[in-house]
Amino acid sequence: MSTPNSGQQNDIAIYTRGVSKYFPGVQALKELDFEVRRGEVHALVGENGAGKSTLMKIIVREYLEDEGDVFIDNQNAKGMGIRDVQQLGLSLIHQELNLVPMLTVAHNICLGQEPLTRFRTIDWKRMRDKAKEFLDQISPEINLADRVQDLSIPHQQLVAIARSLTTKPRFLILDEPTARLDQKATENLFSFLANVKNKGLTVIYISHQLEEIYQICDRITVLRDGKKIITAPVNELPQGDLIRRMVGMEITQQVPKEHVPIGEVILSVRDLSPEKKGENINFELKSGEILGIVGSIGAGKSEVAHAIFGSDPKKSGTILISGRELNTRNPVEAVNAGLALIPEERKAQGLVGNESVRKNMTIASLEKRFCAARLWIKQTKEKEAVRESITTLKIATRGTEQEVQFLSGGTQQKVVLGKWLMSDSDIYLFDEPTKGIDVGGKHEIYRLIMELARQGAGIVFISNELPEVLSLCDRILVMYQGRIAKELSATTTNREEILFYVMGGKENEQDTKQSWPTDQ
Amino acid sequence: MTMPAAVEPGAKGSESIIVKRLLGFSIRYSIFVFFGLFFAIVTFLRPGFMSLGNIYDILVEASLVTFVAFGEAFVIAAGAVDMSLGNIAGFGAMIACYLLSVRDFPVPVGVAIGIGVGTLVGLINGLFVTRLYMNSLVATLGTMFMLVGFLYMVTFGQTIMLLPDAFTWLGTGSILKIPIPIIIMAFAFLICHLLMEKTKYGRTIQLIGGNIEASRLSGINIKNVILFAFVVCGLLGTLSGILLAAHQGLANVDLGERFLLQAFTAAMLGTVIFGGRNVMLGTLCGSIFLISLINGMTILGAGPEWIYFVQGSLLLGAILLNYYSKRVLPGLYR
Amino acid sequence: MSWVGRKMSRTQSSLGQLISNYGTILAFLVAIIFFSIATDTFFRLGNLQNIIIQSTALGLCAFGLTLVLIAGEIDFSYGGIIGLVGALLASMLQQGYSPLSATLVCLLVGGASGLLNALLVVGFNLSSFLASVAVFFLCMGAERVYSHGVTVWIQNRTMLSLVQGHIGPVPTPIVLLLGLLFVCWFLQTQTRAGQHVRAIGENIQAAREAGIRTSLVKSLVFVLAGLLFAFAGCLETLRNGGAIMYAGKQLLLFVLAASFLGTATFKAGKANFPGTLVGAFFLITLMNGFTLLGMKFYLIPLAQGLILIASVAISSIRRGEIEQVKF
Repeated sequence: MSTPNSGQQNDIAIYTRGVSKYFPGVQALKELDFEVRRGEVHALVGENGAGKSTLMKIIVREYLEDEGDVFIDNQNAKGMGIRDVQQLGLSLIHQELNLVPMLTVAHNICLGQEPLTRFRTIDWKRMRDKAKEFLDQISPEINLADRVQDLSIPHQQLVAIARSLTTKPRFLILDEPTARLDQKATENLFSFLANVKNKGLTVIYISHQLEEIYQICDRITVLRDGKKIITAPVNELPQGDLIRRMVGMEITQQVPKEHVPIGEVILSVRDLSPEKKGENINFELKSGEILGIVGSIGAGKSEVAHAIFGSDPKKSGTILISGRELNTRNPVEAVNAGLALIPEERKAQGLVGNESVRKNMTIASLEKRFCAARLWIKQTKEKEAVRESITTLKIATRGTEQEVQFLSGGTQQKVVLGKWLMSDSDIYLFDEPTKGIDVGGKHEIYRLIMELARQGAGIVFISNELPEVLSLCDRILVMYQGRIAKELSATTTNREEILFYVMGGKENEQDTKQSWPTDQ
Repeated sequence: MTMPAAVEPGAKGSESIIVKRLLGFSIRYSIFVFFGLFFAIVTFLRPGFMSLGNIYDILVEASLVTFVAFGEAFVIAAGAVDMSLGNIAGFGAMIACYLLSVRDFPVPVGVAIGIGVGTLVGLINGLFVTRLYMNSLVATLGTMFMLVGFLYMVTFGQTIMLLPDAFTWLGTGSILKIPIPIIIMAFAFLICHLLMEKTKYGRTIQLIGGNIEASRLSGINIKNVILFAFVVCGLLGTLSGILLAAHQGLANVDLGERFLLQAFTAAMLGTVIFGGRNVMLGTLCGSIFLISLINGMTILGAGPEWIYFVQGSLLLGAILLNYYSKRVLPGLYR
Repeated sequence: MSWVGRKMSRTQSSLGQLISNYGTILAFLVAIIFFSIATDTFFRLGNLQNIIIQSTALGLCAFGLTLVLIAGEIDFSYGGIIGLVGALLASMLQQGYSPLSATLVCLLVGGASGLLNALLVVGFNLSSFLASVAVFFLCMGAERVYSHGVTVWIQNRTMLSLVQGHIGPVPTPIVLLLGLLFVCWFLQTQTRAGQHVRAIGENIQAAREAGIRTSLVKSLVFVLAGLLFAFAGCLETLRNGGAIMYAGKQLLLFVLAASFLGTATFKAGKANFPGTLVGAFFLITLMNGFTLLGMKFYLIPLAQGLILIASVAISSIRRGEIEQVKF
């Protein structure tokens, strides 16, 4: 736990009063009052969709608030734009690592402000010195002369952070900074933050990691559904309370979970280590079962799905479908074996935008169902099947020939689902299937997923929206930093417990066992 | 941290639909209008343009181009290009003619071998793209170069002239008053159209061209499909070369040079003419339009340089139209 | 999705790495050694000088292309610019204009084409592939219309002496080539603007965030490339002694090949000036050596095609996924 900062001023660095923001279909922020004191490291926590990103984007003026006031350094941010708040010393470090691979670490740090010799050429020595000044604050190990492309990802993230320091920010917003960091790099970051507190740098720290929050932050603000729930010093808010406030007391049983007979093991994953992220993933899936996988950003959920499906390479691991080993070096094998993947990015990965509903729906089942002599497409049969699907799934389209790029998000997702239904898959891997879909659409998808389970399919349901995970899934795997941290049974757990593990909580921590009243 | 679950609006207001329809219309029909006007003007100035004899000539000339055009259309639909097509045509034709003329092979065998060779080159192109992951532009430029060398090797630069009558009949003869090339073109069109619209291969080619990642994640074997497109392209390309040689009665190293630009233009036009649907029919029309354009300009007395320039501009126009309809139009909807 | 992480995951054999890092130089050395052994006319000062002189126009043109490649775009317009400029130069000289004004006009034309490219790519957001092909055709067409296909020979002594003369003991073209190499290399690696071009080419988003004015820089790149192309065109015309129709088309592949070969040099992995020069020398050396060996002239394009493919394949094979052409 962090010690209170001696000599801390009670000056408010940034605050918002009554800020509201509306997006079509959802009230993102509701009359939010939020304040950050100068020199503190202030944690901002909340579940997915609680409003953290939106609030930050409003503060940095990427979005504009509908109502309310934003003050930065005692100045009203009303008329300001992104550049203006940057001038004030505000800096946001976000997800995109914007570095230039071929240039050196030193150069990346000084990009755009390279020191010049009197001949107007780049003064490499001075640039190195300048970069060193900033890099040393973050990590002593990274070599200035290395090209960024040769660095490991954690190191690249650290360089990106070092880079943001060159604007000499006074207010730093870190959005899930440790998502890409490893152990050592995280330690580097924390030493940096500890040092910097004494120099008056104010930090807003958005995170899902319990350990970090309690280690380096001074105060915590909890958001839920766009409202501020509580702001308190870290030592006055134990983990259990924190999580309870994040989750709230709502008992949301969105779809009554019916009893579905669970059959044999249909998918076995053994010692899977996807190439990009993840280690030693082991689990089994039975037919009729819905297995949830949850975890914060960077936990490695999508990577697992893609590695199983064969669309991304894996370092090691065996996949067994009903006992038979699957050579999943490419999706072709997986699809033939009965796997289906509903990817996270509908438009980029799930659909061919400029083609019709019909062509998109039959893309995975052409040879299986609609081809004579493995060649000729029986279009009448195809159209009929698609029409049937459209009715069954209630797809809102003008007809089978409508181009999918003009359909709404929820409808597009149904087309993707329809595609796999048509190919009679046995195992469905859903990656954030209800992202960006309205409530009505979500419920329809839940209904369809349940129907699949009822028909004996095995379902892996990756999501970060805990209510839906709880109501749909039988078992829940919580992933944390690339590994499976905990397996929970949906009937005996609740949102707090899940969130606890999602945020990296460890079982032997004292206040866990007592504080999870199961209110289901 | 993801954005809050914002709902995406469905199709926007009706005004946009009308605008989109109008623009789509205008692209599609501007080509017809353009050519219609052109034909009208030329016929007005030189009535001989529309004479049966001339139309006959145009169609025969066009038929020679259609094969390469269809081939290129397949490759473009898959999201790649084949720059070596002209040389594939020439090389295949050269081999065939060499075997027929110098080695006295029977006509069917010689022609078959020529086609086989061209198909092989198409396969090699496809392998470069799908196994070596090369950019198709660069890979086919490389093959183009190599083929130039090979072309010379076959005959050391000499022109082959003494071709068997059975062979030249293919290019100059007719059945029931219809020239053979046109008959073959009709068959080829039918097969290509069916292949593209009604078979698994054509369908997957289109899907890959539309979104290769989504196709991959749907279980399509993208490597093999793209390979197939290149193989078909090579095969078709050779047909053009062989028929041209049969038509001219000779084969030289420059054979097929002009096919690349023409194939490309016709194929590009094909992707736009019918709004992106019925690509093969569009390509067919594109070939006919292109050849009529050249024919018309020649009748009007335009020199080769102007013709070349106009051809190039037409290609450019086709590329721009294609770009416009694929990229800009859908964007208008949002 | 950011690029980060993609490159990390491919582990390579050290041989593979060696080839992609230094392949061109190795191949070049092999070629030199081979030709020196195989013929006794290759490794002579006169011949070597010849190679460099012949590489000049190619090299200059390739520098222009390299600059555009560094900025993350592609440019085919040189195919047309070279011919157009040649036609202009030859006929202006014939009509009695001073060498200086003729050259200036040529450079102007080159710059204008570059500007057109910039307008299309930066202004209208067209793909540089399309835009430069468009400019290519325009220039080719303009050349055709201007010259009517007639070859114009250059009689002007002063100009011809430029290419055939010497500065000190060194032939002029060599001075020009090496001089421009140095200038290009220096500007690209030692000035802010030069490094910013690289940044734009690698990650334009990062460049924008760093405050770099990407539109301006990109436009300048196209214009400069146009100037270089024009300069190359002048030299090529002078070297040929006249404006041959469609001279640009001949060079088309060589210039591309030289630039791509340049990426497999000096451990660069990306386009760079010294690498491009090596690539150009390599290609000309091959041509020269093959000719000296009495190799049939038609085998030369064969070898070149093979080398182009090999040079690109060594880096592309690592990619692991199929690349599509964007129209």
